[in-house]
Amino acid sequence: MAVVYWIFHKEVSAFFNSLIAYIVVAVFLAGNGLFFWIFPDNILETGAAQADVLFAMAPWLFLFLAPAITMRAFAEEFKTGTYELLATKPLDDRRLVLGKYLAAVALIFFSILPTLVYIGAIYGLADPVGSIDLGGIGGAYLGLLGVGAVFAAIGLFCSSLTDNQIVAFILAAFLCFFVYAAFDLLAELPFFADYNHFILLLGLQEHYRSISRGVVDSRDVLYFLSLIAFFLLLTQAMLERRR
Amino acid sequence: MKKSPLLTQAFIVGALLFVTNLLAYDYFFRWDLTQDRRYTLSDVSKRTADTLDRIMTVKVYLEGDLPPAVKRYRDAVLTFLVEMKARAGANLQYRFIDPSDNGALQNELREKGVEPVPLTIKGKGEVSKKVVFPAAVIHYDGKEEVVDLFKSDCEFFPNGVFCDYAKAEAEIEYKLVAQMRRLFRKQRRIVAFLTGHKEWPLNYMTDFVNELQKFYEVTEISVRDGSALRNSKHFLPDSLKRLIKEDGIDVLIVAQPDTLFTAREKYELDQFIMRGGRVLWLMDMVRVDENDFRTPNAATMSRPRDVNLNELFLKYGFKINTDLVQDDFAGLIDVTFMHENRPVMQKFKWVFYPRVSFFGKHAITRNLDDVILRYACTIDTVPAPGVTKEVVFSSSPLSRAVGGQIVIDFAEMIANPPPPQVYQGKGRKIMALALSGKFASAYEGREAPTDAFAPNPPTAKFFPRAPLPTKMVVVSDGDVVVKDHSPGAKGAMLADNKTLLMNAVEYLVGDESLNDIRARDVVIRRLDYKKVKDNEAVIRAWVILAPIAVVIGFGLLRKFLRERKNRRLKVAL
Repeated sequence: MAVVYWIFHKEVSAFFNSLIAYIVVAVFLAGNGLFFWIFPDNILETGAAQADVLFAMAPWLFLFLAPAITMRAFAEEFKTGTYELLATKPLDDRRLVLGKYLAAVALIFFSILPTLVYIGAIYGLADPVGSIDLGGIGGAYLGLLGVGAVFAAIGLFCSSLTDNQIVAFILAAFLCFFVYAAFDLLAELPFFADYNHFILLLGLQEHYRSISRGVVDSRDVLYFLSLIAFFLLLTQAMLERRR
Repeated sequence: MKKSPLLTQAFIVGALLFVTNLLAYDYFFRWDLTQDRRYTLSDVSKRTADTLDRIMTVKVYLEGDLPPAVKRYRDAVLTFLVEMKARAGANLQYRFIDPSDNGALQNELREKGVEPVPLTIKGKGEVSKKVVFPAAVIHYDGKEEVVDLFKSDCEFFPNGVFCDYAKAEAEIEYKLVAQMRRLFRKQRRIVAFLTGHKEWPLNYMTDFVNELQKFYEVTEISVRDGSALRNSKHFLPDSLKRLIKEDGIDVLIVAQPDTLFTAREKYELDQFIMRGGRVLWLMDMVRVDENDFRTPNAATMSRPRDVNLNELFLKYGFKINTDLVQDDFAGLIDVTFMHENRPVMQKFKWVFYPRVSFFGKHAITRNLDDVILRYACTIDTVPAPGVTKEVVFSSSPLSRAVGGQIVIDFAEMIANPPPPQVYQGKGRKIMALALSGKFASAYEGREAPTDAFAPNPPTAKFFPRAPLPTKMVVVSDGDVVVKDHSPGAKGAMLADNKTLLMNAVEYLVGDESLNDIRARDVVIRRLDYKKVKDNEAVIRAWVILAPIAVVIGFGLLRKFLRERKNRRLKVAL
């Protein structure tokens, strides 16, 4: 576990030492703020004391946040040759992947943390003050973190495919989009009309829907965990091929 | 490339996870974290979802550009359907359809009886009109049911429509589940009108009969010859089903009989009830002939009506009195008089038309705004062991009962209706009652009667008491079911009388489980409008900049701490 923590710590500090990290997180927060407070159908316009706009839009912003956080994870190591260095250490790939993965999830968690300011604002603006559904919002945050955790696993996998960060970013953004939304679109096709329910269930968005309203469904949790496990195993397999 | 055992392993694990997900699909729990548990389905809804064995399609015609309140309502419908689908899986499909640019679809909806509701949308400065079709259509097993979503919660004024969306939202689950469950019924239920005592002929009740025919088989039946009223097996336990060879009647409607029942007819009615038959009594005990109001002196004498059923009623637990209800809260009557040699028609308040607008929680009065009775009597309850009595509705606090044999001076009553003071402390007379339980027979220890019409003794087994709970509903006005004769009414019934009677039949046909769906207390969480308006710009600036500032502040703090650490290191060196 000490090894995992060492990698975790190294990754997190590396992230915070780069200026790009702050830009990425600031853009993510600005995007959320715009959708929630400024753009049409914003909360001040609808006047509803709920945060559903945040939970509807944040996954889309994750499409760039998560790949930006994970793109350097392995691609950078491959490029600078530090991976060979790591490979000589008494450190197996499993722990390496786990450490980097936990770091990515922690960073995503860190990025959504400041949106609690919004919840505080709704809390204060609600009539009467504080009459918001904290239970539902808490559940939705869990769901958001779940989506982030899946995206982190996908991003890590994409980073393990290449030694080019940009390629890793684009691959991850596309794959995340595909997993999140593509099945919803495919299910709309007349060709799949008879299987649309099944096709919907393959997608991440379908599994995010109920938790984003505050209802935790054991099947959705299982789906999230399965995707994470699958992509982390794939990542490990990719690393093995490098050795 | 190297062959990778891990890659193979990853795909095997992936396949296993896929299968696990599939297997786990039917075994799950949902944990509703919201404070008002608004996503938790009632048990009936869960059972309904579990019962689906083929695809049920729900089409909701609320979509597109909607006023915020309607959008909120739409989202609540979606929420319910999502929860149902989480339970029912692929067997429940739903779609939200915008009919606003589709004339053909709009016509189709109108044909199904969906009336559009014109809404006003307040935009920035301008006000626009929008017509919505607040309905859903449910398809299942080759049948379909139309659900009125919130039209019944709207009031129509010349200057616009006011809809109570909060009330409508609380009813979403009930409305949709009730219609879903209707679609499960394999056979259409049979509703029969009793004949043989000058009851209303069907063509006096076309509006009601047509509505009934949408959902039930409607028939007429006479038992003058002493034949048993076969009641449907639907309500019977298996032990009794054997006794009844063919399917019979589910609900018997007795709509204003005017002549005496024979002893044998009474016996057959009694035994129909004992075997689980359900009855809707629509009858008053006083005759008032409105035709007399057209005579020159324009007065009439009300006369008691005896149909020889009191003995049964007393045994079951109620009594329809021989009196008339006068209610200050009343419907209108058409009066034609000559003005400058031309007949002029005008409407006047008529205290003998009690109007009911305040209802309790009884299932029969769901979605009712207004019921108008004509010459109703009062109902009293009578002790009857094993029978539960629920008041469905009563007259207003400003009402009273007057004798059954009075002179009604038409012109005088129109010109000088009783002043409200006379009603003081006399109101709240029961005019509709629902009874349920194991009724006792009026024929226990008595010989089954025979008469000239029915010389043979009954063949069916005698029940001294209903072995299973059954239900009946009494409305103390036979006119409640008759269409409105006033010009312009186009044969429709008065007010919401049709809804009242349809609800009553639905209540009798039964699906008690629906009563478990509580009307949800919908909490509408809103922002303080004034607070928002006064500080809009400040709020926006704060809320957008604060999170970013937190992040940048964190970065700067980190940098500062790191540099200080480095400096100290240097110093130490």
